[in-house]
Amino acid sequence: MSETLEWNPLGENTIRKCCLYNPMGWNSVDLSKNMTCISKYGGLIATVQDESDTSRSGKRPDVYVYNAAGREISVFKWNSGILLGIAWTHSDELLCLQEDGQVLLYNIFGIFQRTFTMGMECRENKVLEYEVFTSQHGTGIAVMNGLYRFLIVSNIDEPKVRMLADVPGLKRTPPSSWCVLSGPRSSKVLAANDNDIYLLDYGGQSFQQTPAALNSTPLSYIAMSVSVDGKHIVLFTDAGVLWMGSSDFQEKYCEFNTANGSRPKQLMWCCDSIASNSIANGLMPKNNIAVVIYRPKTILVVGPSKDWVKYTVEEDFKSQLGSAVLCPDVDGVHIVTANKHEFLQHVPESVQGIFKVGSMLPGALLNDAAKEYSHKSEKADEYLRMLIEKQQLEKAVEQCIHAASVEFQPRIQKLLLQAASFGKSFVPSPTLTELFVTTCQALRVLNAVRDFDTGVALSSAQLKHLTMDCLIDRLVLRRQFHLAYQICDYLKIPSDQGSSRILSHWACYKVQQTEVSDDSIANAIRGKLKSAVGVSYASIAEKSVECGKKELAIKLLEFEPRASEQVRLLSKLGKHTLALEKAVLSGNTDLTHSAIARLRERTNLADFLCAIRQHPVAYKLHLKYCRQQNERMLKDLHEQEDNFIELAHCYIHDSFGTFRPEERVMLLHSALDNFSKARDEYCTKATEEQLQLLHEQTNLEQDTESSYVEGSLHDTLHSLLTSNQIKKAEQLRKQFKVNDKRWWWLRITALGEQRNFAELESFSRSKKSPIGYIPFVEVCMNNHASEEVPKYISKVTQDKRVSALLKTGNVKYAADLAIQTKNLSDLDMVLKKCGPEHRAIAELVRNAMVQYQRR
Amino acid sequence: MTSMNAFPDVSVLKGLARQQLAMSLGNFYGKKDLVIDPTLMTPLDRLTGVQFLKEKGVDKIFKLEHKEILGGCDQRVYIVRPEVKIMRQIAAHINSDKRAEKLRKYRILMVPRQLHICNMILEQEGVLGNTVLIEDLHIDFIPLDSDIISLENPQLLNAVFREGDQTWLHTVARSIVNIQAAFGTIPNVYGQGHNAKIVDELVKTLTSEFDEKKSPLQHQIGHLILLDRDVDYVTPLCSQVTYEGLLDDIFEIKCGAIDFGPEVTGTEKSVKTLLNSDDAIFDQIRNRHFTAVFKFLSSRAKEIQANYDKRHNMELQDLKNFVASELKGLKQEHRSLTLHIGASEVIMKHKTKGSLKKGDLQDILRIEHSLLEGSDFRECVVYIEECIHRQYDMLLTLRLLCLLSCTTSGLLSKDYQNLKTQFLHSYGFEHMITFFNLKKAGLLTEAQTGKETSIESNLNKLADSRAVGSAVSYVTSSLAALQKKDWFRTVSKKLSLIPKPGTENNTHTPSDMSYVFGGAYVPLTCRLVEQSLQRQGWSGLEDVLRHLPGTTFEKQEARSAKAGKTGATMASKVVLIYFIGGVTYSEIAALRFLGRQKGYKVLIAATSIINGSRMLESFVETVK
Repeated sequence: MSETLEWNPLGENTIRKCCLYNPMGWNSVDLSKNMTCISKYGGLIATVQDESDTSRSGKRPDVYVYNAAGREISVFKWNSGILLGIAWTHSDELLCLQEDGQVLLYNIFGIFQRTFTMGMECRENKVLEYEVFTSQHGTGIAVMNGLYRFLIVSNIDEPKVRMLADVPGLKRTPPSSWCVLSGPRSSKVLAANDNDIYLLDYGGQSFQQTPAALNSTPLSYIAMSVSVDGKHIVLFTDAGVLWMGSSDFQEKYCEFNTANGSRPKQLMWCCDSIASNSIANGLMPKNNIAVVIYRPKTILVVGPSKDWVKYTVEEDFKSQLGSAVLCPDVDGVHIVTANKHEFLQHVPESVQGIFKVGSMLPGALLNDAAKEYSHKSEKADEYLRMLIEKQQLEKAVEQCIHAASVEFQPRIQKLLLQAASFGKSFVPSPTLTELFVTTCQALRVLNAVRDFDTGVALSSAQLKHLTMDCLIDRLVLRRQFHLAYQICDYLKIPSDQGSSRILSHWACYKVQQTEVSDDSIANAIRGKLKSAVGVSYASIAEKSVECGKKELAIKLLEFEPRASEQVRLLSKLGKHTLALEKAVLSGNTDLTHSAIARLRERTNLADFLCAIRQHPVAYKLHLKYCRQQNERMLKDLHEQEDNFIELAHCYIHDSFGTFRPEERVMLLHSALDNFSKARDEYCTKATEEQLQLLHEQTNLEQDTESSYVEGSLHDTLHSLLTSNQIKKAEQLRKQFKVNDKRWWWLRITALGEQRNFAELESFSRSKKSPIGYIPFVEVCMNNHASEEVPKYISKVTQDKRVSALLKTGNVKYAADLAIQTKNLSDLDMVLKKCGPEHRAIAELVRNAMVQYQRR
Repeated sequence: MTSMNAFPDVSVLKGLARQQLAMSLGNFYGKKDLVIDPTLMTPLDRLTGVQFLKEKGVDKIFKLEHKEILGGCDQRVYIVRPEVKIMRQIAAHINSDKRAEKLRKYRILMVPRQLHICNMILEQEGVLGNTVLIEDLHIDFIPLDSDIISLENPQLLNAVFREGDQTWLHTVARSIVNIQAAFGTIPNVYGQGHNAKIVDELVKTLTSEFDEKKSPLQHQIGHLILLDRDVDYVTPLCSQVTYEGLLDDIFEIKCGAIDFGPEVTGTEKSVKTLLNSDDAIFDQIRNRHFTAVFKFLSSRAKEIQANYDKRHNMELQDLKNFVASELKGLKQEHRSLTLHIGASEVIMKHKTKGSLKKGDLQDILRIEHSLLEGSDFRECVVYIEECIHRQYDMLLTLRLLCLLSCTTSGLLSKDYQNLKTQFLHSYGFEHMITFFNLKKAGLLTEAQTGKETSIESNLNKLADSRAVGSAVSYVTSSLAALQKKDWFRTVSKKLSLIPKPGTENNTHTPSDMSYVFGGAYVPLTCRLVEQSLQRQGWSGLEDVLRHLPGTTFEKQEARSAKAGKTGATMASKVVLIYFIGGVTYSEIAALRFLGRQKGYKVLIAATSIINGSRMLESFVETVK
């Protein structure tokens, strides 16, 4: 069967070489003479001509970056120092190591990102060997310099170079082999000095390691390799013997003699580290691991139970060279030759279960049933019944779905999904449906990104580990905006994480285009992003500022809904007036304030005033700010505006802030000036009057030593009257034209307070009261002299008498009088005044009212 | 009250505010002292308790004052309003700590958000550093009752309506956005007023800024009515005569709680009590006209007594049940009854006796009614003059003055100048500024003889509105307002705010919203609410609205097929009325009445709860 064509049994397990791309998209690349590296999670290929031949002759090599299918993504000329090696980092950046220990990082488009150095010692003694590794902290690099010392950076994003312990007993020869052992906390180096192996850490210590149960006695270990998950190690001796074991050297899996003592070109593990990491404590079956040894033309795969498979590397038809590059990924090994990109992996269990010859597992049965069904054979029913009877149908569907997901060929995927779908119709299970749908979606995405043009060689297990979001990010990094957008759309990812985000990335890329006019870029961006929600135009604008396109940035900011961002950036661009305008429009006064402040700092006063006057909201805010912070400025502003009334009021306000009479007078004079400038006659007069009053009050204070200044005219007159300075009071009365009513009120209240009831009576006779005689009644009552009341009651006009009586609190008399006069409104008034204690009276009044109303 | 099902549960907002506070305090590890802005004391009290604060590591609690607090532990949290004055105080505290070489970590939490100007002042005072951290504390609405939510931000009135500072409008808009986040996007919005319009625009901007698409929630509130306070200054200027209104006028209700002094409790101690619908007795009387309160209280007292008496002829087992189940409730009712009877007596005293400084309430009510009706203008002026001459309580005098001005759409120059002179003579020249402020706020104006100020101010406003992009409508409305001089009279006629003299309005069983003012006046705002709900918008009212200040707007969601759902129809009977600049208890009572009458569930939101005095106080110039 074609499904098992590439399968090779390896012990209890099976290994397969899946062909991902054939032929490759490139024309011809001589891998044997190049340094080549392949990235994990996606299989990007970078290749550069080996410097050892070219650079010394002065010729600068070109660095080529291809996708997994060999389509060229970019090419750039290497124009720094002598290139020692290249490698991909975990975030798809190309790491280039120079002989002098300088590390340069490029993105996939060959654009320089950043650099760091491995230290002075490396510069002086040159780097001889290196290894780039992945740990939990990210991508790290370890180098061995000319002094055979090891230096390590465990995370290239925070390049902190640490020196490791020296290899003990090392003479003039380099260590016979070494590799990095990345652990969860720190990464260390394993180095072999002939037949001693040491673990070097950066505390300056080294520990000798002895492989457990070693049968052979090697002279030296000439190669070693640790698996991607850091759990297994393989040692290769000068006698061609492999020792496979756990990376702590405590457990031996097997020893295997390859009968070839020459140093292999590449030595690595092929294992499923995703699965092994998900199983706790590493207690996993050992049958999913294998060692891969590459020597030109052959690839030897050795399993832990000494089984082996040998592949021949096909010859390239042009160069006649069978050269391949291998690179371990998290669940297999990439093998790239001049015309093929293959993936070596253990055949996943579910696939094995279905396609293995004679398999009777549920998945296999279901697959057969589906096949028979499509041939319209009754055997379909037979198989299906078997599954249903054994209650294995669900299991079968699950197996088929899983097997489909791990297959690379759409044809087989389809076959398996058809089987699953066929089986699924007999088991109504929402979880299975869910699984089926998500698997179909994932496969659709995977097949799309595996396409030649995109060339992301991602296995389904890798996708699961990498997550969909990350894949989308990587597509964005590769400027595959359209595909990323489509995927988000297809998977219905919320637009803020999905389509909108991609559109903004696209826009950020778009603004970098130099050949198109600002207007058309802005329009293009607006056109695409109009319907998208949550796009930050500000960040796009910021990007365009970075590219030196201010005008474009301003155009883009027009679309930004968040005013704070708009204002911040506009200010940054020096567009303070525009920023102010936007801030005012936003209605967020806080923004307005800061925009005003910045405008004030950056422009001269005249321009500032001119700008701010155009925005009344901002102007008012500024006025308020000045009122609180800077009164001088406030007055200046009013002066500028010829706003004399405001100005005058400012002075009045100030005048009450001081206790020094001279100052108060001065300030009131300023107020006066302004009122007269404003031609406000009334206010001018009032202020003049106040100045006179102040003058009089000050004089009074000098004469009498009591306080007058803070009081009003009324207060002043009142204290004069109560202290019997009636003459003075009369004088002020004339001066300030106090009207009669007030005067009478003042007089009688003062007399009442003094309890000078005789004088009160004579005052009442002095002339006809302009305020009537009820006030006299009230004054007497207020000063507890009810005996005086009758004198005035008679003077109260008839119609007011009831209310006068009520004021004295004499509800009874009032009621009597009201009933007598038969006045309805008076009766009502009495009723309203009846408190809880006047229940009887109230009753009387009510009766009377009813009586009169009837008439 | 009507059943509360499907009514938005505003206590959710309280939970949110508590969460915010808990988070801010939790982020500051370890023991800390709390220094609280005096104006935030009561609101915070409503949200949290000492127990809650202790759990969050609060040690001591101080009130923010001028004088320094030297004691306390080495971490301190200030919870304050973002005001310049307060920033200076905090800066003084920190600097004095520095001088005393007392090392402390500070966190300044600004409610509801920090302002650029505050940070600037702290920077100028040189206290910003790594020991001082400034954070926002997003507390906006504080639920005072199941149907009242308030920002408790009285400063807004002065800032917005006098100074034209729109800072707080942002907060108002934010609060609406939050409401919509909690209870779904409100489909129908009607508004009247310059600031209401700005808020509405801001809500749109904020929603798009926060990128919140339409809230996925099924909306629980069907209508939002946004009203500016300056649309109706008249209502808060009137003396209140509902029970709750009187309590507020006489004792002052702070953040839904009241402090009854010895005169009410009849004991030495004063009692602080919450006024809300949980108090069954209060719930029954709060909205009643005061004359209807006593009768209810006395009948209720009899009932309770009867219930108490039951126990005398009870078997032992019954008595046990009685003690276990009923007694507690009875005691509670009894307690609340005692308080309210005590309060009513004090109110009664105020009503019947009058006082030296406050005048006679009956007289004042009479004058107010004449002013509302527009009758006996001279008599009113004379009365106000008398108030001035007798140096009555200034706020009272001012209130009548403003009412005079508002009901006649500005005083004639002659009257204005005369009254102003008299006023200054009585209360002092510094009130030149008070008059100036009230003029700016539009509360006490001089009728124009065709020139200057009003045009200038209108042009100013015009320019403002240009920024918001509603110039045209503003021009038309302001021109209309200019043309129609006596707008209050016109509006009150068109909306029949003053019941015809013949119509008897029973204050015991009211038939009309005017009962909240003893049958003399229907609050303009409440009538607008009634009309807009009845018409589902403003259509047909243009004739009235063009007389009112500010812009009119409405937004209605197309009625989709979905509206047929039960949830939606329930929501369409729920209305949120938002008063920008504060609401009075009289209006609340009227709106509750309206809700009961028309079958709406009314939720009231306001920037603060005001009455005449508190409203005027914010404009009065206080001499330093």
